[in-house]
Amino acid sequence: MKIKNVNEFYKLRDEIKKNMEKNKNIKVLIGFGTCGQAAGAKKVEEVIKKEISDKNLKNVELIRVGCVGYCYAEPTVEVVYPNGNSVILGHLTPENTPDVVEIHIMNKALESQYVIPRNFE
Amino acid sequence: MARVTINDISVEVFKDSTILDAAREVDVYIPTLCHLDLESFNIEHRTGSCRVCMVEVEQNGKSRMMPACCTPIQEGMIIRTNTPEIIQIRRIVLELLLSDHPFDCLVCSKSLDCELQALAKQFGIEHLTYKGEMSLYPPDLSSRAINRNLDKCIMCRRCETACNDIQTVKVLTGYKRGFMSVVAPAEMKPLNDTNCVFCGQCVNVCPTGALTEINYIKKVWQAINDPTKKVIVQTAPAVRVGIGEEFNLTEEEAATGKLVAGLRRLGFDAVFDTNFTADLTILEEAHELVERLKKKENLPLLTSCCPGWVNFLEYQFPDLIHIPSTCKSPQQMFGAVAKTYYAEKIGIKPENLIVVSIMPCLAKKYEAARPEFIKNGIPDVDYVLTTRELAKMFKEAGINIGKLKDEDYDNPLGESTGAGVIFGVSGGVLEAALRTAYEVVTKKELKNVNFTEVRGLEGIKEATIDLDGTELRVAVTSGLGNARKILEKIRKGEANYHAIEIMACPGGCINGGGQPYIHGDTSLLEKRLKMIYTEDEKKKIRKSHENPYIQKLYKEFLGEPGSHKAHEILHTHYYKKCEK
Amino acid sequence: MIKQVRIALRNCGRINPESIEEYINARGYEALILSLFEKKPEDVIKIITDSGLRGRGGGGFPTGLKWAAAAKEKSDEKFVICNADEGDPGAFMDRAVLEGDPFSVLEAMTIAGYCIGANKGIIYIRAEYPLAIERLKFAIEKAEEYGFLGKNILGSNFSFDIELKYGAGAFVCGEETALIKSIEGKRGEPVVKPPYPAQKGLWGKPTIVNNVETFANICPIIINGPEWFRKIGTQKSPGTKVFALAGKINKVGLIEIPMGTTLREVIYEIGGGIKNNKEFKAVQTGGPSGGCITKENIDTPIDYDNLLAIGSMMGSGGMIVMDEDDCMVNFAKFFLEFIIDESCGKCTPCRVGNKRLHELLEQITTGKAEDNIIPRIEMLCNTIKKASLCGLGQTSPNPVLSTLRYFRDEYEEHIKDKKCRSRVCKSLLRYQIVPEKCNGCTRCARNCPVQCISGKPKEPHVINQDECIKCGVCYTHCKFDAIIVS
Repeated sequence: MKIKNVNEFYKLRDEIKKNMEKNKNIKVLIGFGTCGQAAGAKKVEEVIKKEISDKNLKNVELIRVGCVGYCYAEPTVEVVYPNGNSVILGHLTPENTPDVVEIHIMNKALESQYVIPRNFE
Repeated sequence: MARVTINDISVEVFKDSTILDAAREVDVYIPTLCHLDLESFNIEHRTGSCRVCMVEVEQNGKSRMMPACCTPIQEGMIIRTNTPEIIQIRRIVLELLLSDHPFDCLVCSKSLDCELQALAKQFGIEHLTYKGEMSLYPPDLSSRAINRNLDKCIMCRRCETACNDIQTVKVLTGYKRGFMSVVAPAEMKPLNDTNCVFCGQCVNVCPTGALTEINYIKKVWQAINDPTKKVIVQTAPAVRVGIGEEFNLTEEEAATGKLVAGLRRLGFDAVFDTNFTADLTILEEAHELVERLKKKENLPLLTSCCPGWVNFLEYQFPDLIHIPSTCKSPQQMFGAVAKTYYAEKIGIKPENLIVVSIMPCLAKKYEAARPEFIKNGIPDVDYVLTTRELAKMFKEAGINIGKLKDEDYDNPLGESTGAGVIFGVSGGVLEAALRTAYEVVTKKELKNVNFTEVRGLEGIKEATIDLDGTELRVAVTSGLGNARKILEKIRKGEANYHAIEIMACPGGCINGGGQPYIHGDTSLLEKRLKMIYTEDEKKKIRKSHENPYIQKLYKEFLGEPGSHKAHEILHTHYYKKCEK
Repeated sequence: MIKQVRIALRNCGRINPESIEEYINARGYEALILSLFEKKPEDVIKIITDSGLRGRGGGGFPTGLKWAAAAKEKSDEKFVICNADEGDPGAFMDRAVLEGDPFSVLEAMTIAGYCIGANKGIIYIRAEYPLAIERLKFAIEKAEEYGFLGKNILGSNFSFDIELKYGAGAFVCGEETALIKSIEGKRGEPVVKPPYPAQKGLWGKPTIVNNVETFANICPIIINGPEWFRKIGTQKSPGTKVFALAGKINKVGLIEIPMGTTLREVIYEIGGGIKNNKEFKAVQTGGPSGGCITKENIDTPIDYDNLLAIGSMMGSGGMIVMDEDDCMVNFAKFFLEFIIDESCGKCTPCRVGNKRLHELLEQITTGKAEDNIIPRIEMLCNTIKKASLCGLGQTSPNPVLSTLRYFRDEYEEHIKDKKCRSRVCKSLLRYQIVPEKCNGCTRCARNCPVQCISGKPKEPHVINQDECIKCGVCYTHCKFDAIIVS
């Protein structure tokens, strides 16, 4: 769809904003840059997907994003809750991922040994 | 105009001048190495890569080192060219170049003709502060014409400018990175496996021994010393105006007689002139032109005496191979006539007659080895030496031609007209052809033989000649880049010429790939050019068809211009070559 | 704790890089609309100039001036080039931006095109970045679909297209004139400036070349205004800089910090300190063109001019942390190795000079150096610095010069005492067997690859120093700590 003028742009933007506000899913942002992939993000993603379907979790959305910069802790995942809170989890492996899913997606905990300190706003 | 200060001397120069130009204005000398200014052709190579010409430039209170050869002048620049730091930096740069250059000056063919060597001497470099690994490459001896010795390449890139920008042959490029960088054909192919046309312009501009000719001096000595062989020699028109430079001759006239005398002293059994077969070429070519004009086909007629250009055509314009004249070049006509007519005349088997050519050219070395010019294993021309190689032979034999009395060429292949000698310069072949064609077409005597509109070093010259009512549109190009422009016009059907002379080297054979090195001094070419026309004017006969020995040759042997026999011996054909 | 400020990386990891909706939701294309419909090109250039944004690729040239120079030129065609040929060892911020937020670069390039009067943008990206290429291709397609690229963008009379060109991974192609040659299909070699690309660039037409991170700063500056930007960072270097933190540091990663942050804050607060609690020795910034920053300058606020003053440079933002185990001579040699591989070979000082410089350092690290070697090194460095053709050559001796400046004693130890205190330069090591501790188990002798250890079983063994190749095999095999290294 081609935007033909400025008004059309603002209309589209308002629509996008409304849709985003309506969305009450837990968002799982997976660091999927070259660095994250090299560190094993794909395997972690597969395990998360499997856990979501095995545990029949609803309202969880997986989104691949770029690099966040926590190279020392890759693969990393950021979980954003509908209320705006979020946690960054690092040093994920296929082995510890089920644990992570349980703590942070099912139980929405804001603390655990997987949480790494956020160093920017 | 902009005003700058160079070593406290204030000077006003044109805005587009470089620091180097400005320095020359006030006689401040800045050393250069990679820079090359071919003034007569309006070609300046300035990559700024060698960094020998660094100077200190102060501007807006900031001081920086800049290369003088390619830094444009800006108002108010304060330039210093010889502070202790600049001298030290230049010296180190030069030492660095030397540290990756073989120390075989004593046995290098460019010794005493090498710009790197000259600079080292000028800087008084007697030891190297920095030494280490050298880049090693095997020499490329694949072709018959050009010897590439990459160990000696200093990455000045002049050859690239010559090959790619001037000649548009586009064979050479920077290859590999860092310390291993050299200039080479793509993928480091041997030169013989490329589109190289062997014009030798790269050799002419190379400052070191990285590019030189393939040397046949030894083979020629062997032939001369072989009692079973009769060895004859032919000299191309441009050789007589170049050879004197090798002996620091100051005369304004060509060293023709001294050249002949020197060749006899080397031991050649007969000394002949390529000018003789240049005259012969004109008879055949003029005949061909008249025929084509009559039939109005295969026009424009392109001259075919330059093997570099013929090669260029075969590679780059294979769709046009039907338009050049089918005449062999004067060198090959000479070889063919010598091994038939002359051999018969003196009663010798062709295999015992050795034909040596002295040429201003490297492509001639390649041309002599073309398969169609070798019959039953016997080449029409056995060995081709450049003007430079001949000078080396003279020196080796202790012959200073400057001290010799003039001598004349031998007969029957030594007599020539003024039309023959002007083959040595761009425009000459066409002018010579016009002198004959005019009389053939109009059946009238041509009073003024000087067609000055086709003379000079300009790259593309055009003229319309009145052949007693018939208009003949002609063009003359030299330098393959200029040839390309004309050929592309012909290909598109946009050219309405009747005849075009094409020479591969800018300015023609006086600037051939086998001539003494000019090191960027194009005034030498203008001197050579003048000598050629003086030589023409000195001749009593200035029209090829009036050469009595040519007339005799037709009468005794060839019959008429364009006859069956003439075709068999004097004409050739061209091949479509694939781009490699 | 010192926090990062994310401008260039604002969307990285936050939005789905393959969703134009998410980009729009994150204020995407607001800056383009502001520029196209509410401002004249010169107004936008003024905003960029006033913001004080300097080129993030390394040189730090004011972006606004570059744009203004190209805008001034009259030409039928102009070009905007995004330099994504990130080649510094250890730097990957451009990749992160392109992979995480491709639309922001496209938007900024379009704005740049509007400012200078160009209708064509080219992203020169190294072929080794397949994911970034894939995401850019996708983003270009989407932007065209929505009308953010192409003819008459959003109904305005401005048209702009972007295409990708792939670099073959030559470091020197990060230099803008070499990059232009490479796009033209020629050998990637720098040419002498002036003329600058803004006057005569790609195909001889006015061209601006900006780096990815520079472009990533454009949209926020236009949206928030130059004053906002100037409040971040220092007076002469406003804004932030992305660094790739690597080496002996706990939290290796990509960080974006306001200019003026000190190295101490970066290492100990953001970076979590030195690995294994070792002693901090130095940080190399600016990759092979930069220099090291030592303990004495650890509290220097990081910006373009301060780094230059202490003999380093910003470069593209690599930051390699070294601890007491790193040998500075060897470290300088490492960067020279990179340079001699990557030099294009065009000019003499860089082509031959760096080779000779490397050989001199090799002499030092192998104990073969003569006593007067340091002045010779300095003289050579000065020549390379002042006489090289392009920025890469001119900065190539920096690692040597800066280690010489701060660690001259280490050089002298190598040269005079034939000693490497960090035990990195193997040729200078001496493996010896302490007779009292050796019980003649023969394990070392059996494992020595050159059989230079002799001795009867159950009697102390001896290493023949002339034949020893200092491989360290005996040292690692000895179970009785009988072998010492000195």
